[in-house]
Amino acid sequence: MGTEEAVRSRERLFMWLAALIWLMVTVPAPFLNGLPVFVAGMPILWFWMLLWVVLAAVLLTVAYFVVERG
Amino acid sequence: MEPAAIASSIIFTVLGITIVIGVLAYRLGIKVLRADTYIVAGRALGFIVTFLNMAAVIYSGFAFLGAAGWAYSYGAPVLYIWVYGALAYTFAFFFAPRIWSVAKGRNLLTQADFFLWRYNSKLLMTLVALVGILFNIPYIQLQILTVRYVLDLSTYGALPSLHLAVLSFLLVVLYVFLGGMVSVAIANVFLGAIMLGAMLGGSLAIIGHYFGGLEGLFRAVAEVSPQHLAFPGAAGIHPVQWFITAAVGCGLGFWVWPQLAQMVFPARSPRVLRRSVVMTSWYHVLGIIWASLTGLAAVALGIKLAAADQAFIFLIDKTFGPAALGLIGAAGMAAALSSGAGILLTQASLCARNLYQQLVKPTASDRELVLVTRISVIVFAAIGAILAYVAPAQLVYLLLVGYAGITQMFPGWVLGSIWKWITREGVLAGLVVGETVVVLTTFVWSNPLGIHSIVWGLIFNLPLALLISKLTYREAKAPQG
Repeated sequence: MGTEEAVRSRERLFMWLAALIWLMVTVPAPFLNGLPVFVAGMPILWFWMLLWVVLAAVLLTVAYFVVERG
Repeated sequence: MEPAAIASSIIFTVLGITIVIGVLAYRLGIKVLRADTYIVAGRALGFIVTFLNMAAVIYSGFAFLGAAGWAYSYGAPVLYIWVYGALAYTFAFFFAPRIWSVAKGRNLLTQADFFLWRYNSKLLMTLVALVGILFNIPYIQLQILTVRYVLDLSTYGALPSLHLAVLSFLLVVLYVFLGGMVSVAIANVFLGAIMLGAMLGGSLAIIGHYFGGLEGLFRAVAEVSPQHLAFPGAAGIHPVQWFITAAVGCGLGFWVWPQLAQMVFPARSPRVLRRSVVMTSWYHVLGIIWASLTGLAAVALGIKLAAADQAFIFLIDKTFGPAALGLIGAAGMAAALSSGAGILLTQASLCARNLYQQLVKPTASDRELVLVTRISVIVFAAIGAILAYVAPAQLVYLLLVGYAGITQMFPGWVLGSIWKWITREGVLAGLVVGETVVVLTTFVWSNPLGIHSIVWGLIFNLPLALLISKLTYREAKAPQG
Protein backbone atom coordinates (compact mmCIF):
# COMPACT_ATOMS: atom_id res chain seq x y z
CA MET A 1 0.00 0.00 0.00
CA GLY A 2 1.16 3.56 -0.57
CA THR A 3 0.08 6.95 -1.77
CA GLU A 4 -1.88 7.13 -5.01
CA GLU A 5 1.21 8.65 -6.70
CA ALA A 6 3.39 5.72 -5.62
CA VAL A 7 0.72 3.33 -6.80
CA ARG A 8 0.59 5.03 -10.22
CA SER A 9 4.35 4.73 -10.68
CA ARG A 10 4.10 0.98 -10.01
CA GLU A 11 1.30 0.75 -12.56
CA ARG A 12 3.50 1.60 -15.53
CA LEU A 13 4.94 -1.87 -16.11
CA PHE A 14 1.48 -3.35 -16.06
CA MET A 15 0.25 -0.78 -18.56
CA TRP A 16 2.71 -2.23 -21.07
CA LEU A 17 1.60 -5.75 -20.26
CA ALA A 18 -2.02 -4.68 -20.69
CA ALA A 19 -1.12 -3.23 -24.08
CA LEU A 20 0.43 -6.60 -24.95
CA ILE A 21 -2.93 -8.26 -24.25
CA TRP A 22 -4.68 -5.83 -26.60
CA LEU A 23 -2.17 -6.81 -29.30
CA MET A 24 -2.30 -10.55 -28.67
CA VAL A 25 -6.07 -10.83 -29.05
CA THR A 26 -6.20 -8.81 -32.23
CA VAL A 27 -3.06 -9.16 -34.37
CA PRO A 28 -2.87 -13.00 -34.54
CA ALA A 29 -6.61 -13.40 -35.22
CA PRO A 30 -6.34 -13.37 -39.06
CA PHE A 31 -3.56 -15.99 -38.95
CA LEU A 32 -5.37 -18.33 -36.57
CA ASN A 33 -8.75 -18.02 -38.23
CA GLY A 34 -9.86 -21.26 -39.86
CA LEU A 35 -6.72 -23.26 -38.96
CA PRO A 36 -7.80 -26.91 -38.55
CA VAL A 37 -5.81 -27.33 -35.36
CA PHE A 38 -7.30 -28.19 -31.99
CA VAL A 39 -5.55 -27.22 -28.76
CA ALA A 40 -6.86 -28.43 -25.40
CA GLY A 41 -9.99 -29.64 -27.17
CA MET A 42 -10.74 -26.30 -28.82
CA PRO A 43 -10.09 -24.86 -32.28
CA ILE A 44 -6.88 -22.88 -31.97
CA LEU A 45 -8.67 -19.58 -32.63
CA TRP A 46 -11.05 -20.14 -29.70
CA PHE A 47 -8.29 -21.51 -27.49
CA TRP A 48 -6.11 -18.47 -28.20
CA MET A 49 -8.87 -16.01 -27.34
CA LEU A 50 -9.83 -17.88 -24.17
CA LEU A 51 -6.17 -18.07 -23.16
CA TRP A 52 -5.70 -14.31 -23.42
CA VAL A 53 -8.99 -13.45 -21.77
CA VAL A 54 -7.93 -15.60 -18.82
CA LEU A 55 -4.41 -14.16 -18.91
CA ALA A 56 -5.92 -10.66 -18.79
CA ALA A 57 -7.71 -11.57 -15.55
CA VAL A 58 -4.51 -13.15 -14.17
CA LEU A 59 -2.49 -10.07 -15.14
CA LEU A 60 -4.94 -7.77 -13.38
CA THR A 61 -4.87 -9.95 -10.29
CA VAL A 62 -1.07 -9.84 -10.14
CA ALA A 63 -1.11 -6.11 -10.96
CA TYR A 64 -3.51 -5.49 -8.10
CA PHE A 65 -1.27 -7.15 -5.53
CA VAL A 66 1.92 -5.56 -6.84
CA VAL A 67 0.46 -2.10 -7.35
CA GLU A 68 -1.51 -1.90 -4.12
CA ARG A 69 0.93 -3.61 -1.83
CA GLY A 70 4.15 -2.41 -3.36
CA MET B 1 -47.53 -28.50 -9.47
CA GLU B 2 -47.61 -27.25 -13.06
CA PRO B 3 -44.19 -26.57 -14.66
CA ALA B 4 -45.18 -22.94 -15.34
CA ALA B 5 -46.16 -22.51 -11.68
CA ILE B 6 -42.84 -23.96 -10.47
CA ALA B 7 -40.76 -21.70 -12.73
CA SER B 8 -42.80 -18.55 -12.12
CA SER B 9 -42.87 -19.03 -8.34
CA ILE B 10 -39.05 -19.11 -8.31
CA ILE B 11 -38.84 -16.04 -10.52
CA PHE B 12 -41.28 -14.01 -8.44
CA THR B 13 -39.63 -15.12 -5.19
CA VAL B 14 -36.34 -13.72 -6.46
CA LEU B 15 -38.10 -10.52 -7.51
CA GLY B 16 -39.72 -10.22 -4.07
CA ILE B 17 -36.40 -10.70 -2.28
CA THR B 18 -34.82 -8.07 -4.52
CA ILE B 19 -37.49 -5.50 -3.70
CA VAL B 20 -37.20 -6.20 0.02
CA ILE B 21 -33.41 -5.82 -0.12
CA GLY B 22 -33.69 -2.59 -2.10
CA VAL B 23 -36.20 -1.04 0.30
CA LEU B 24 -34.35 -2.27 3.41
CA ALA B 25 -31.11 -0.81 2.07
CA TYR B 26 -32.84 2.55 1.95
CA ARG B 27 -34.33 2.19 5.44
CA LEU B 28 -31.16 0.93 7.09
CA GLY B 29 -28.40 2.35 4.94
CA ILE B 30 -29.29 6.01 4.56
CA LYS B 31 -29.13 8.26 7.58
CA VAL B 32 -29.22 11.62 5.81
CA LEU B 33 -30.47 11.85 2.23
CA ARG B 34 -28.23 14.26 0.34
CA ALA B 35 -27.57 14.52 -3.40
CA ASP B 36 -24.23 12.73 -3.15
CA THR B 37 -25.79 10.01 -1.00
CA TYR B 38 -28.60 9.54 -3.48
CA ILE B 39 -26.57 9.68 -6.70
CA VAL B 40 -23.16 8.20 -5.75
CA ALA B 41 -23.93 6.54 -2.38
CA GLY B 42 -21.75 9.08 -0.57
CA ARG B 43 -18.69 7.50 -2.27
CA ALA B 44 -18.73 4.95 0.51
CA LEU B 45 -19.23 1.59 -1.18
CA GLY B 46 -16.82 -1.18 -0.25
CA PHE B 47 -15.35 -3.92 -2.41
CA ILE B 48 -18.10 -6.55 -2.55
CA VAL B 49 -20.86 -4.02 -3.25
CA THR B 50 -18.83 -2.12 -5.84
CA PHE B 51 -17.80 -5.33 -7.60
CA LEU B 52 -21.22 -6.97 -7.82
CA ASN B 53 -23.00 -3.69 -8.53
CA MET B 54 -20.61 -3.09 -11.42
CA ALA B 55 -21.05 -6.62 -12.75
CA ALA B 56 -24.84 -6.54 -12.41
CA VAL B 57 -25.13 -3.28 -14.33
CA ILE B 58 -22.62 -4.33 -17.00
CA TYR B 59 -24.19 -7.68 -17.78
CA SER B 60 -27.71 -6.78 -18.84
CA GLY B 61 -30.52 -9.12 -19.77
CA PHE B 62 -29.54 -8.65 -23.38
CA ALA B 63 -25.98 -9.81 -22.64
CA PHE B 64 -27.22 -12.72 -20.52
CA LEU B 65 -29.38 -14.15 -23.28
CA GLY B 66 -27.77 -12.43 -26.25
CA ALA B 67 -24.29 -13.94 -25.89
CA ALA B 68 -25.68 -17.46 -26.28
CA GLY B 69 -27.89 -16.16 -29.08
CA TRP B 70 -24.89 -14.73 -30.92
CA ALA B 71 -22.98 -17.99 -30.61
CA TYR B 72 -26.03 -19.86 -31.89
CA SER B 73 -26.60 -17.54 -34.86
CA TYR B 74 -23.07 -16.63 -35.86
CA GLY B 75 -20.53 -18.80 -34.01
CA ALA B 76 -17.00 -17.33 -33.93
CA PRO B 77 -18.11 -13.67 -34.08
CA VAL B 78 -19.25 -14.14 -30.45
CA LEU B 79 -15.54 -14.04 -29.61
CA TYR B 80 -15.74 -10.26 -29.82
CA ILE B 81 -17.86 -10.35 -26.65
CA TRP B 82 -15.23 -12.49 -24.90
CA VAL B 83 -12.44 -10.21 -25.98
CA TYR B 84 -13.88 -6.74 -25.58
CA GLY B 85 -14.76 -7.47 -21.96
CA ALA B 86 -11.16 -8.44 -21.23
CA LEU B 87 -9.88 -5.36 -23.05
CA ALA B 88 -12.32 -3.12 -21.19
CA TYR B 89 -11.19 -4.41 -17.79
CA THR B 90 -7.49 -4.06 -18.53
CA PHE B 91 -8.28 -0.49 -19.54
CA ALA B 92 -10.46 0.18 -16.47
CA PHE B 93 -7.81 -1.01 -14.05
CA PHE B 94 -5.76 2.06 -14.92
CA PHE B 95 -8.49 4.48 -15.97
CA ALA B 96 -11.20 4.02 -13.32
CA PRO B 97 -9.07 5.01 -10.27
CA ARG B 98 -7.86 8.08 -12.14
CA ILE B 99 -11.34 9.32 -13.02
CA TRP B 100 -12.55 8.43 -9.51
CA SER B 101 -9.85 10.64 -7.97
CA VAL B 102 -10.84 13.56 -10.20
CA ALA B 103 -14.53 13.10 -9.35
CA LYS B 104 -13.89 12.79 -5.62
CA GLY B 105 -11.67 15.88 -5.53
CA ARG B 106 -14.24 18.09 -7.34
CA ASN B 107 -17.43 16.45 -6.01
CA LEU B 108 -18.47 15.42 -9.53
CA LEU B 109 -21.66 13.36 -9.43
CA THR B 110 -22.14 12.50 -13.10
CA GLN B 111 -20.08 12.02 -16.25
CA ALA B 112 -21.49 15.28 -17.65
CA ASP B 113 -20.20 17.03 -14.49
CA PHE B 114 -16.71 16.02 -15.60
CA PHE B 115 -17.18 17.66 -19.00
CA LEU B 116 -18.41 20.87 -17.37
CA TRP B 117 -15.48 20.96 -14.96
CA ARG B 118 -12.79 19.87 -17.43
CA TYR B 119 -13.80 21.98 -20.43
CA ASN B 120 -15.74 24.75 -18.69
CA SER B 121 -18.41 24.25 -21.34
CA LYS B 122 -22.11 24.02 -20.63
CA LEU B 123 -22.63 23.12 -24.29
CA LEU B 124 -20.45 20.01 -23.97
CA MET B 125 -22.01 19.13 -20.63
CA THR B 126 -25.49 19.42 -22.12
CA LEU B 127 -24.53 17.35 -25.17
CA VAL B 128 -23.05 14.63 -22.98
CA ALA B 129 -26.09 14.60 -20.69
CA LEU B 130 -28.50 14.45 -23.64
CA VAL B 131 -26.51 11.68 -25.35
CA GLY B 132 -26.46 9.72 -22.08
CA ILE B 133 -30.20 10.13 -21.59
CA LEU B 134 -31.26 9.63 -25.21
CA PHE B 135 -29.19 6.56 -26.06
CA ASN B 136 -30.26 4.89 -22.82
CA ILE B 137 -34.01 5.26 -23.41
CA PRO B 138 -34.13 2.19 -25.67
CA TYR B 139 -31.93 0.30 -23.19
CA ILE B 140 -34.52 0.78 -20.44
CA GLN B 141 -37.20 -0.38 -22.83
CA LEU B 142 -35.01 -3.32 -23.86
CA GLN B 143 -34.62 -4.43 -20.23
CA ILE B 144 -38.41 -4.45 -19.78
CA LEU B 145 -38.85 -6.43 -22.98
CA THR B 146 -36.12 -8.86 -21.86
CA VAL B 147 -38.04 -9.51 -18.64
CA ARG B 148 -41.13 -10.12 -20.76
CA TYR B 149 -39.17 -12.52 -22.95
CA VAL B 150 -37.82 -14.40 -19.93
CA LEU B 151 -41.30 -14.64 -18.39
CA ASP B 152 -42.78 -15.88 -21.66
CA LEU B 153 -40.19 -18.62 -22.00
CA SER B 154 -40.10 -19.57 -18.33
CA THR B 155 -43.85 -19.83 -17.93
CA TYR B 156 -44.54 -21.33 -21.36
CA GLY B 157 -46.63 -18.28 -22.27
CA ALA B 158 -49.09 -18.97 -19.45
CA LEU B 159 -48.95 -15.47 -17.93
CA PRO B 160 -49.61 -11.95 -19.29
CA SER B 161 -45.91 -11.38 -19.64
CA LEU B 162 -45.79 -7.75 -20.79
CA HIS B 163 -47.99 -6.52 -17.93
CA LEU B 164 -45.94 -8.54 -15.45
CA ALA B 165 -42.65 -7.29 -16.91
CA VAL B 166 -43.77 -3.69 -16.57
CA LEU B 167 -45.03 -4.37 -13.04
CA SER B 168 -41.69 -5.99 -12.09
CA PHE B 169 -39.84 -3.00 -13.45
CA LEU B 170 -42.07 -0.56 -11.57
CA LEU B 171 -41.39 -2.46 -8.34
CA VAL B 172 -37.69 -1.98 -8.97
CA VAL B 173 -38.38 1.71 -9.61
CA LEU B 174 -39.80 1.86 -6.08
CA TYR B 175 -36.44 1.20 -4.44
CA VAL B 176 -34.51 3.25 -6.99
CA PHE B 177 -36.86 6.13 -6.12
CA LEU B 178 -36.44 5.64 -2.39
CA GLY B 179 -32.79 4.90 -1.92
CA GLY B 180 -31.03 5.88 -5.15
CA MET B 181 -27.56 4.38 -5.57
CA VAL B 182 -27.47 2.74 -2.12
CA SER B 183 -30.57 0.67 -2.85
CA VAL B 184 -29.50 -0.06 -6.44
CA ALA B 185 -26.04 -1.22 -5.34
CA ILE B 186 -27.15 -3.40 -2.42
CA ALA B 187 -29.91 -5.05 -4.46
CA ASN B 188 -27.40 -5.60 -7.25
CA VAL B 189 -25.17 -7.59 -4.89
CA PHE B 190 -27.96 -10.15 -4.67
CA LEU B 191 -28.79 -10.00 -8.38
CA GLY B 192 -25.15 -10.09 -9.51
CA ALA B 193 -24.48 -13.20 -7.41
CA ILE B 194 -27.54 -14.97 -8.83
CA MET B 195 -26.49 -14.12 -12.38
CA LEU B 196 -22.99 -15.52 -11.93
CA GLY B 197 -24.28 -18.71 -10.33
CA ALA B 198 -26.79 -19.22 -13.14
CA MET B 199 -24.41 -18.46 -16.00
CA LEU B 200 -21.60 -20.67 -14.72
CA GLY B 201 -23.70 -23.45 -13.18
CA GLY B 202 -26.21 -23.64 -16.03
CA SER B 203 -23.56 -23.63 -18.77
CA LEU B 204 -21.29 -26.19 -17.12
CA ALA B 205 -24.26 -28.44 -16.47
CA ILE B 206 -25.40 -28.31 -20.10
CA ILE B 207 -21.93 -28.80 -21.59
CA GLY B 208 -21.09 -31.58 -19.13
CA HIS B 209 -24.44 -33.32 -19.63
CA TYR B 210 -24.38 -33.45 -23.43
CA PHE B 211 -20.71 -33.34 -24.37
CA GLY B 212 -18.67 -34.28 -21.31
CA GLY B 213 -16.57 -31.15 -21.68
CA LEU B 214 -15.31 -28.50 -24.07
CA GLU B 215 -13.58 -30.95 -26.41
CA GLY B 216 -16.80 -32.89 -26.96
CA LEU B 217 -18.68 -29.66 -27.58
CA PHE B 218 -16.26 -28.29 -30.15
CA ARG B 219 -15.84 -31.63 -31.94
CA ALA B 220 -19.63 -31.86 -32.25
CA VAL B 221 -19.91 -28.31 -33.63
CA ALA B 222 -17.08 -29.05 -36.08
CA GLU B 223 -19.10 -31.96 -37.44
CA VAL B 224 -22.50 -30.28 -37.54
CA SER B 225 -21.59 -26.75 -38.59
CA PRO B 226 -17.85 -26.04 -39.02
CA GLN B 227 -18.58 -22.52 -40.29
CA HIS B 228 -19.60 -21.66 -36.70
CA LEU B 229 -15.97 -22.08 -35.60
CA ALA B 230 -14.28 -19.47 -37.81
CA PHE B 231 -14.82 -16.00 -39.23
CA PRO B 232 -16.88 -14.79 -41.06
CA GLY B 233 -19.14 -17.04 -38.99
CA ALA B 234 -22.27 -19.00 -39.83
CA ALA B 235 -24.03 -16.03 -41.43
CA GLY B 236 -20.93 -15.10 -43.43
CA ILE B 237 -21.20 -11.41 -42.56
CA HIS B 238 -18.54 -10.95 -39.87
CA PRO B 239 -15.05 -11.05 -41.39
CA VAL B 240 -12.03 -11.14 -39.13
CA GLN B 241 -11.45 -7.38 -39.50
CA TRP B 242 -14.97 -6.86 -38.17
CA PHE B 243 -14.01 -8.92 -35.09
CA ILE B 244 -10.84 -6.92 -34.49
CA THR B 245 -12.48 -3.52 -34.88
CA ALA B 246 -15.59 -4.46 -32.90
CA ALA B 247 -13.48 -5.82 -30.02
CA VAL B 248 -11.17 -2.81 -29.91
CA GLY B 249 -13.97 -0.29 -30.45
CA CYS B 250 -16.22 -1.80 -27.78
CA GLY B 251 -13.24 -2.20 -25.44
CA LEU B 252 -12.50 1.52 -25.78
CA GLY B 253 -16.15 2.55 -25.61
CA PHE B 254 -17.08 0.37 -22.66
CA TRP B 255 -16.29 2.85 -19.88
CA VAL B 256 -17.62 5.79 -21.83
CA TRP B 257 -21.21 4.69 -21.12
CA PRO B 258 -22.53 7.12 -18.49
CA GLN B 259 -24.02 4.36 -16.31
CA LEU B 260 -20.61 2.72 -16.02
CA ALA B 261 -19.03 6.03 -15.05
CA GLN B 262 -21.78 6.20 -12.47
CA MET B 263 -20.73 2.79 -11.09
CA VAL B 264 -17.15 4.03 -10.65
CA PHE B 265 -17.96 7.14 -8.60
CA PRO B 266 -19.60 5.41 -5.57
CA ALA B 267 -16.48 3.36 -4.68
CA ARG B 268 -14.84 4.17 -1.37
CA SER B 269 -11.30 4.39 -2.74
CA PRO B 270 -9.13 3.69 -5.79
CA ARG B 271 -8.06 0.48 -4.09
CA VAL B 272 -11.67 -0.71 -3.88
CA LEU B 273 -12.09 0.13 -7.56
CA ARG B 274 -8.98 -1.76 -8.70
CA ARG B 275 -10.02 -4.78 -6.68
CA SER B 276 -13.54 -4.61 -8.11
CA VAL B 277 -12.25 -4.37 -11.68
CA VAL B 278 -10.03 -7.40 -11.08
CA MET B 279 -12.97 -9.40 -9.77
CA THR B 280 -15.25 -8.24 -12.59
CA SER B 281 -12.68 -9.53 -15.07
CA TRP B 282 -12.99 -12.95 -13.40
CA TYR B 283 -16.78 -12.57 -13.43
CA HIS B 284 -16.47 -12.13 -17.20
CA VAL B 285 -14.34 -15.26 -17.55
CA LEU B 286 -16.61 -17.38 -15.38
CA GLY B 287 -19.94 -15.95 -16.50
CA ILE B 288 -20.52 -14.59 -19.96
CA ILE B 289 -17.96 -16.79 -21.72
CA TRP B 290 -19.54 -19.98 -20.45
CA ALA B 291 -23.06 -18.68 -21.06
CA SER B 292 -22.15 -17.97 -24.69
CA LEU B 293 -21.00 -21.57 -25.17
CA THR B 294 -24.56 -22.80 -24.59
CA GLY B 295 -25.38 -21.25 -27.98
CA LEU B 296 -22.81 -23.57 -29.57
CA ALA B 297 -24.31 -26.46 -27.60
CA ALA B 298 -27.68 -25.75 -29.24
CA VAL B 299 -25.98 -25.75 -32.66
CA ALA B 300 -24.20 -29.04 -31.94
CA LEU B 301 -27.46 -30.65 -30.80
CA GLY B 302 -29.15 -29.56 -34.04
CA ILE B 303 -31.85 -27.63 -32.19
CA LYS B 304 -33.95 -25.27 -34.30
CA LEU B 305 -34.97 -22.26 -32.26
CA ALA B 306 -37.67 -19.72 -33.09
CA ALA B 307 -35.35 -16.98 -31.79
CA ALA B 308 -31.61 -17.30 -31.20
CA ASP B 309 -31.77 -15.67 -27.74
CA GLN B 310 -33.79 -18.64 -26.48
CA ALA B 311 -30.73 -20.93 -26.67
CA PHE B 312 -29.69 -20.87 -23.01
CA ILE B 313 -33.19 -20.98 -21.51
CA PHE B 314 -34.42 -23.60 -23.98
CA LEU B 315 -31.55 -25.99 -23.21
CA ILE B 316 -31.98 -25.58 -19.47
CA ASP B 317 -35.68 -26.37 -19.73
CA LYS B 318 -35.15 -29.32 -22.06
CA THR B 319 -32.39 -30.79 -19.93
CA PHE B 320 -33.21 -30.04 -16.32
CA GLY B 321 -36.92 -29.15 -16.15
CA PRO B 322 -38.99 -26.32 -14.67
CA ALA B 323 -37.13 -25.73 -11.39
CA ALA B 324 -33.83 -25.13 -13.19
CA LEU B 325 -35.74 -23.10 -15.76
CA GLY B 326 -37.10 -20.94 -12.95
CA LEU B 327 -33.60 -20.35 -11.59
CA ILE B 328 -32.19 -19.37 -14.98
CA GLY B 329 -35.28 -17.29 -15.71
CA ALA B 330 -34.81 -15.51 -12.39
CA ALA B 331 -31.19 -14.84 -13.30
CA GLY B 332 -32.19 -13.50 -16.71
CA MET B 333 -34.72 -11.22 -15.05
CA ALA B 334 -32.08 -10.22 -12.48
CA ALA B 335 -29.71 -9.25 -15.28
CA ALA B 336 -32.35 -7.10 -16.94
CA LEU B 337 -33.64 -5.41 -13.80
CA SER B 338 -30.23 -4.73 -12.28
CA SER B 339 -29.03 -3.02 -15.45
CA GLY B 340 -32.35 -1.21 -15.78
CA ALA B 341 -32.06 0.16 -12.24
CA GLY B 342 -28.53 1.44 -12.82
CA ILE B 343 -29.40 3.02 -16.17
CA LEU B 344 -32.54 4.63 -14.78
CA LEU B 345 -30.67 6.26 -11.90
CA THR B 346 -28.00 7.49 -14.31
CA GLN B 347 -30.55 9.07 -16.65
CA ALA B 348 -32.33 10.72 -13.72
CA SER B 349 -29.04 12.02 -12.30
CA LEU B 350 -27.96 13.50 -15.64
CA CYS B 351 -31.35 15.16 -16.02
CA ALA B 352 -31.54 16.57 -12.48
CA ARG B 353 -27.92 17.48 -11.91
CA ASN B 354 -26.90 18.68 -15.38
CA LEU B 355 -30.05 19.79 -17.19
CA TYR B 356 -31.95 21.11 -14.16
CA GLN B 357 -29.40 22.29 -11.62
CA GLN B 358 -26.64 23.41 -13.99
CA LEU B 359 -28.84 24.94 -16.69
CA VAL B 360 -32.18 25.91 -15.17
CA LYS B 361 -31.68 26.59 -11.47
CA PRO B 362 -28.07 26.82 -10.25
CA THR B 363 -29.33 27.85 -6.80
CA ALA B 364 -31.23 24.57 -6.35
CA SER B 365 -30.63 23.15 -2.89
CA ASP B 366 -29.37 19.67 -2.16
CA ARG B 367 -32.84 18.64 -1.06
CA GLU B 368 -34.35 20.02 -4.26
CA LEU B 369 -31.79 18.14 -6.36
CA VAL B 370 -32.75 14.85 -4.71
CA LEU B 371 -36.42 15.64 -5.30
CA VAL B 372 -35.87 16.39 -8.99
CA THR B 373 -33.75 13.24 -9.37
CA ARG B 374 -36.56 11.21 -7.82
CA ILE B 375 -39.14 12.79 -10.10
CA SER B 376 -36.85 12.07 -13.07
CA VAL B 377 -36.63 8.41 -12.00
CA ILE B 378 -40.42 8.20 -12.25
CA VAL B 379 -40.54 10.07 -15.56
CA PHE B 380 -37.89 7.94 -17.29
CA ALA B 381 -39.39 4.74 -15.89
CA ALA B 382 -42.78 5.80 -17.28
CA ILE B 383 -41.25 6.57 -20.68
CA GLY B 384 -39.57 3.14 -20.77
CA ALA B 385 -42.81 1.39 -19.72
CA ILE B 386 -44.96 3.27 -22.23
CA LEU B 387 -42.50 2.60 -25.05
CA ALA B 388 -42.48 -1.09 -24.15
CA TYR B 389 -46.21 -1.09 -24.88
CA VAL B 390 -46.52 1.24 -27.83
CA ALA B 391 -43.24 1.17 -29.74
CA PRO B 392 -41.28 -2.01 -29.07
CA ALA B 393 -39.49 -1.96 -32.43
CA GLN B 394 -39.19 1.68 -33.43
CA LEU B 395 -36.24 2.49 -31.20
CA VAL B 396 -34.04 -0.22 -32.61
CA TYR B 397 -32.20 2.45 -34.62
CA LEU B 398 -31.06 4.14 -31.44
CA LEU B 399 -29.77 0.78 -30.21
CA LEU B 400 -27.89 0.24 -33.45
CA VAL B 401 -25.97 3.49 -33.15
CA GLY B 402 -25.92 3.52 -29.34
CA TYR B 403 -22.56 1.92 -28.68
CA ALA B 404 -20.83 3.58 -31.61
CA GLY B 405 -22.43 6.91 -30.76
CA ILE B 406 -21.50 6.88 -27.08
CA THR B 407 -17.93 5.83 -27.90
CA GLN B 408 -17.38 9.09 -29.76
CA MET B 409 -17.13 10.76 -26.33
CA PHE B 410 -13.89 8.82 -25.78
CA PRO B 411 -11.49 11.71 -26.55
CA GLY B 412 -13.27 14.10 -24.20
CA TRP B 413 -13.80 11.60 -21.39
CA VAL B 414 -10.65 9.49 -21.46
CA LEU B 415 -7.97 11.54 -23.21
CA GLY B 416 -9.23 14.69 -21.48
CA SER B 417 -8.65 13.05 -18.10
CA ILE B 418 -5.06 12.20 -19.07
CA TRP B 419 -3.77 15.09 -21.21
CA LYS B 420 -4.17 18.72 -20.22
CA TRP B 421 -3.89 19.97 -23.78
CA ILE B 422 -7.16 18.40 -24.96
CA THR B 423 -9.49 21.36 -25.52
CA ARG B 424 -13.23 21.74 -25.73
CA GLU B 425 -12.94 22.87 -29.36
CA GLY B 426 -11.12 19.66 -30.24
CA VAL B 427 -13.56 17.48 -28.33
CA LEU B 428 -16.60 19.20 -29.86
CA ALA B 429 -15.27 19.01 -33.42
CA GLY B 430 -14.33 15.34 -32.99
CA LEU B 431 -17.69 14.54 -31.43
CA VAL B 432 -19.74 16.14 -34.20
CA VAL B 433 -17.70 14.56 -37.00
CA GLY B 434 -17.46 11.19 -35.22
CA GLU B 435 -21.23 10.99 -34.66
CA THR B 436 -21.90 11.93 -38.28
CA VAL B 437 -19.55 9.21 -39.53
CA VAL B 438 -21.19 6.68 -37.17
CA VAL B 439 -24.63 7.46 -38.57
CA LEU B 440 -23.34 7.22 -42.16
CA THR B 441 -21.46 3.95 -41.58
CA THR B 442 -24.45 2.42 -39.80
CA PHE B 443 -27.37 3.40 -41.99
CA VAL B 444 -26.01 4.54 -45.35
CA TRP B 445 -22.98 2.30 -45.91
CA SER B 446 -22.99 -0.32 -43.19
CA ASN B 447 -19.57 -1.20 -41.75
CA PRO B 448 -17.55 -0.38 -44.92
CA LEU B 449 -14.70 -2.81 -45.67
CA GLY B 450 -16.00 -4.98 -42.82
CA ILE B 451 -14.81 -2.45 -40.25
CA HIS B 452 -17.17 -1.65 -37.37
CA SER B 453 -18.80 1.80 -37.38
CA ILE B 454 -17.33 2.54 -33.90
CA VAL B 455 -13.87 2.46 -35.41
CA TRP B 456 -14.90 4.45 -38.49
CA GLY B 457 -16.21 7.15 -36.15
CA LEU B 458 -12.99 7.13 -34.11
CA ILE B 459 -10.80 7.17 -37.25
CA PHE B 460 -12.23 10.61 -38.04
CA ASN B 461 -12.95 11.75 -34.50
CA LEU B 462 -9.60 11.08 -32.79
CA PRO B 463 -7.20 12.81 -35.25
CA LEU B 464 -9.54 15.78 -35.53
CA ALA B 465 -9.92 16.09 -31.75
CA LEU B 466 -6.14 15.87 -31.27
CA LEU B 467 -5.30 18.24 -34.13
CA ILE B 468 -7.78 20.94 -33.15
CA SER B 469 -6.77 20.58 -29.50
CA LYS B 470 -3.12 21.13 -30.47
CA LEU B 471 -4.07 24.18 -32.55
CA THR B 472 -6.35 25.76 -29.96
CA TYR B 473 -4.49 24.88 -26.77
CA ARG B 474 -2.28 27.97 -26.72
CA GLU B 475 -5.23 30.25 -27.16
CA ALA B 476 -7.44 28.35 -24.75
CA LYS B 477 -7.32 28.90 -21.05
CA ALA B 478 -5.20 26.31 -19.30
CA PRO B 479 -7.51 23.51 -18.27
CA GLN B 480 -8.22 23.25 -14.62
CA GLY B 481 -6.90 19.66 -14.56
